[in-house]
Amino acid sequence: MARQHSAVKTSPLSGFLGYALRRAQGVIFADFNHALAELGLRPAQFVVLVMIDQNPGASQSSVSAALGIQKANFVAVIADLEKRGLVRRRRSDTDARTYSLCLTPQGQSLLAHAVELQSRHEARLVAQIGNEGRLQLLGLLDRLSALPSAWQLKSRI
Amino acid sequence: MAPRRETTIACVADLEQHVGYMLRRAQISVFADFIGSQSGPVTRPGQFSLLIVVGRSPGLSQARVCAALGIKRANLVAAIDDLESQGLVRREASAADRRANRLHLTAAGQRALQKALAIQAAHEARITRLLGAAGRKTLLKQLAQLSKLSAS
Repeated sequence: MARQHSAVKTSPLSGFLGYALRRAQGVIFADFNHALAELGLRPAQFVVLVMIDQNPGASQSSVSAALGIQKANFVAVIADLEKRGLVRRRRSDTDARTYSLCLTPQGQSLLAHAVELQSRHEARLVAQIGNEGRLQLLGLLDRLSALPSAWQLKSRI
Repeated sequence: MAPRRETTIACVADLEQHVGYMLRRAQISVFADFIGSQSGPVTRPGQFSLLIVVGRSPGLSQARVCAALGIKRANLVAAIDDLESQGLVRREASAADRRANRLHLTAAGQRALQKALAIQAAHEARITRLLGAAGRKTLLKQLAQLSKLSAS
């Protein structure tokens, strides 16, 4: 009986890279989500704050394009961050049809705190695979991003 | 003052140092390639995993499949409903426990799985071309290590 139990392990899927990616991604996401909870921030919001911090004054569309987020979803994320006083939206000086994004001082300080939590999260990952392993991993993951060009597919998963 | 068309894409360099972000981006690419290449009744990676697990161990209970795939029961039930409505999976009430449905592939399910596996092999080959065989092996090992991260 115990034998049969062990036969049910995920072994039939362990060689599939997509499955391994999804599984690790779920575990890492959960860890990061948990880490950010004390700030009332979700990983998707964190990513947007980092992007605005790195690209102050960037237009909404350029940030959503870089993140591969659909416009409608992105507008909702920004509206929420704006309501919390973390992000400021301004009509662009050069093009009245677009909004440019900036962090407020409050957004800056929340992000600073979140970045600290992110560093600790990253350190937990390094504890699993080592410093060199992490760099190697980042390189391999980056190469995989070249895949979908073969299929003109823009579906969000 | 000609209005400038906004075509610039913001810089993601900071995020590219975050394993979580890079992992998510890679996973979306890999899933998009999988979905884009599949042509039979199996279209999503989750369905594919499910067919493999049920195909390899016919008669598994839903609870065991949940445990094997690490997914929630509600999600599994919805996925099985979908596969059952397509005639790919059959639920069989257990004699011992009426609440425990046992899962089997139908003949159509077997055929769909074989077809999906063949297409999946080409998908996996594209990945190997990108990473190299050694790179792919390293990646699998690192992902397994990362999956052991315990909830903090």
